[in-house]
Amino acid sequence: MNNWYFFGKKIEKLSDYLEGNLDRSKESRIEGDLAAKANQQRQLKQAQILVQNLHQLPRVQPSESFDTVLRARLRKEAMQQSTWISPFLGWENWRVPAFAAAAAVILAIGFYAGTRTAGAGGRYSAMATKSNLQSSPATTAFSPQTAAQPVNVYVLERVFDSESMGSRVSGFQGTDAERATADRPDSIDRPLLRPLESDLTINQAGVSVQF
Amino acid sequence: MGLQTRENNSAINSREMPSDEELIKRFQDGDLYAFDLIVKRYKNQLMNFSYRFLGNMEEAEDVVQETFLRLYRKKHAYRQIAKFSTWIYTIASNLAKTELRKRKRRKLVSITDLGYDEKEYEIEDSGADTERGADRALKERYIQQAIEELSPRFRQVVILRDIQELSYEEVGKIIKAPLGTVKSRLNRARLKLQDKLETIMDRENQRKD
Repeated sequence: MNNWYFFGKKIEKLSDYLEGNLDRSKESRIEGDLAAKANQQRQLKQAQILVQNLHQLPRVQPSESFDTVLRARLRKEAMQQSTWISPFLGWENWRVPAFAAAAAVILAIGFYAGTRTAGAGGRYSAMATKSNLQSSPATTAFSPQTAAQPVNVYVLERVFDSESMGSRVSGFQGTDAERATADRPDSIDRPLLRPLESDLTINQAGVSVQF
Repeated sequence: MGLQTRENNSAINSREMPSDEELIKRFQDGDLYAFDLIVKRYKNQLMNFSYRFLGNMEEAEDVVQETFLRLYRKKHAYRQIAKFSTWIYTIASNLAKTELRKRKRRKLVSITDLGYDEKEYEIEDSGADTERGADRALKERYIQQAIEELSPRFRQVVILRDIQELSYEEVGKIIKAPLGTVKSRLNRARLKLQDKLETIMDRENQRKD
């Protein structure tokens, strides 16, 4: 209702304006109003055209070599992952040398302690690796163990899968008793050792990491 | 029977066209084929987004490559609570902004930078051999140039909404802003574009009248 009244008033004023019945100040106010309206309308139309033009912009597509380049970059990344420890430990590359040094120290201490215990009649704990499980029962002594306490043996291997361009961790986790059975070449197919997928904990008995 | 057939069809369709969220779940579970499908599904739209944002084919392609590499590396960072498209656009947006910052730094270093006018725009051929085609190509070039002159936050919102045609909600999630902010920012971005493209818009307006 108010709008109609307002509109009616405007029309009335517009008639006065057209007939020159308004004083100068009212005239210029109406001229300003009309100009603003026209400008608004123009802007609205421009906005519509703009949005339409943006919708109609041609769709840009990647180059033909996009997939090849991406595949190569993924492959490169996977290969880097296969040589670095970071992907499965979540460490940054610069920490790898630090890890290697720490592992070496642990191994050296284990070896030293093991030698001493062996001298005293103890027996060595052996670390089995996937490769020596498959080829020979050769083992390496790292740390001593007592017969009563089962010691976890972790064998980790980072394998690059060329088909999937990814790398995976394969490994086994088991107690010393299981390891002893697994050391025998004929036991390779037995599911004695539990597959170790993601929970990679370095145990106190020793570590064997293959790259 | 009819219903059963429809159900069967929809089952087949859902088997044939898994949703983005299903694909990323499969990829998280180790299915690399799902990753391929995601790349296939998103490479074109991300390329278009990056190109409109950066105005350079090589940089745009690099951003898209890096987006997929990030997805490959950080697949487990995605949580089902968000829409996958929102997530991947957020990655691409952040990378594109970073690329822009790098470019600014490069510009500071290099005084021999050529600027917008000397850039080559490799956009798909729209019939440049005809006069109309050439006219359209020129218009597209002006529009792209005007987009590039917008500040990154205005540029991002106008590309996501008016070029990529994402919903306001999706744009809001990508730019991490409430709906009201999205709308007002979009409005301001459009006004700025209109100012820059006044001549073209006016000419079209007159042509339509």
